[in-house]
Amino acid sequence: MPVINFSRVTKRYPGGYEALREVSFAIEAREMVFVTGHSGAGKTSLLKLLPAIERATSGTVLINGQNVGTMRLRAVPFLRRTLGLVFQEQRLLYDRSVFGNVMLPLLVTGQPPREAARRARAALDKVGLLEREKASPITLSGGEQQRLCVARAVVNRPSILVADEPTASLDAESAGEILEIFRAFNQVGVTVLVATHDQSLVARFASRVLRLDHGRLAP
Amino acid sequence: MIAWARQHVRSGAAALRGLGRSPLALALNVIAVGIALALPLGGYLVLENVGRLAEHGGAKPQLSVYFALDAGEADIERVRAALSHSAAVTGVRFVARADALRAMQRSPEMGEIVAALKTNPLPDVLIADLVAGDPAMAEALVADLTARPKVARVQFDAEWARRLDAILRLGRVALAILAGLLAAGLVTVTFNAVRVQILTQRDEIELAKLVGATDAFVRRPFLYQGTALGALGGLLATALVLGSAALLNAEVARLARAYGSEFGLQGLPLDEWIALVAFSGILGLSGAYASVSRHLHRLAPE
Repeated sequence: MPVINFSRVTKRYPGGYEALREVSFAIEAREMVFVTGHSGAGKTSLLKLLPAIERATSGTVLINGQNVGTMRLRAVPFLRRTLGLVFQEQRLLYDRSVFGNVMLPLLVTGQPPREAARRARAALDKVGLLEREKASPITLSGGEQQRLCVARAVVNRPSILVADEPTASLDAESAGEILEIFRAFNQVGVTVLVATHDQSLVARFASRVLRLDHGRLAP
Repeated sequence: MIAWARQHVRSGAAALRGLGRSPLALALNVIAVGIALALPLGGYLVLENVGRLAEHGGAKPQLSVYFALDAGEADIERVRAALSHSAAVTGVRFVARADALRAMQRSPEMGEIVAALKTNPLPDVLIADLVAGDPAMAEALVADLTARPKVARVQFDAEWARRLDAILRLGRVALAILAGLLAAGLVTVTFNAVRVQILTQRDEIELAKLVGATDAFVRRPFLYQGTALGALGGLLATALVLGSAALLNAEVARLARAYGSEFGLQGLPLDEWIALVAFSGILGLSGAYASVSRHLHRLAPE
């Protein structure tokens, strides 16, 4: 059974703008898939359907067989806990340390404090930020901030990792590091879905590519 | 169960930290709530004490039965028995007309006038002390006594009792209205305080929802904050009213002594203070709940 299954998904925003039109695809467990396309092609709209930030206008979105489009609001938090999200706009909290940022998802899911601290440090270690745990996120470099976002996304051990333009503001070296981290997670069994407009990065990985063009999936 | 309790303890701690982060705003909100509550509470205290003064002070309601000059002992005994059996009467005293005349003769101002009289014009009198605060029962008693044989006149100063009763009733209604308005004020203050908190923690709330926080998880610390704000306001109101009463009490006691009374202001019993703090906590909670419900879904990226 596919982990993610889109079936003739259309997303139309109020005002009539059609961001996605009749998009169908399936992603199997342990796959690493890139979503590419020009700016405004619908990459972000597509990714927002997964954690039910937006809901499809028509068509069905299934995650692990669950229909996200008809899911009740009360069930949405528990769907989101199975996804690791890296946001285009980062959403780091500057009123707390690097460690505090990674702790938030664990507080949300109510992990026991000792277990939570252990997991937070393990996640920071995986992205190479363990020695910066007491620092404020504002003092980190762009690449480090992005790695912090990845640590926060994986700290609850999601089965699916979803990243929206994770390399957008990074130099080639940092961008490569981020993608290597994604590949490492993919190799231990995490399904990874990355949206990017950077074709040169995609070319370095032998991964499946879904190309969006004006809201349609290009063949 | 343990996880659930831990979540509550954590969000409680987080809520208090959130309040502590802006001590000036917290202080201003607590003062606003405290003063709003202190007004009706102070009014309540005053009314309670006025009622107590009316009951225990010098102004006990009395009823005097004046007999016709030809009334016999049997007539007087029947009335005395009726008074003694009435639930409205706490004590009965008899003043015989001869005794009354003798008392007048001894008085320096009246002595000469009384001496000039050929006959004793004074009637026999029964004086009854009545229970306070029940003018209706007293008036029924007056009507009954007036209709009896050989009773010339029954004098009951019903007016002041009725007036006091009316004033106390008016005071209680006014106080209830004031308390209602200020309770609404308290809810508004917490509503707004929580709104400000939500806006300053907007990023954190949005992120928490994106990583799978339930509404209950997001709501909880704000509910604790609202409750804490209301309860702290209640405590402040208690302190303000107790402090004012203590300041006033010395002067009230001095005034009372000048009237030969041992009267002093009395506070309220502990259980009423606890009820007040709990009640203001509940008002704070409901203000917070309304605020969170209203503002949370606007923030939610749903």
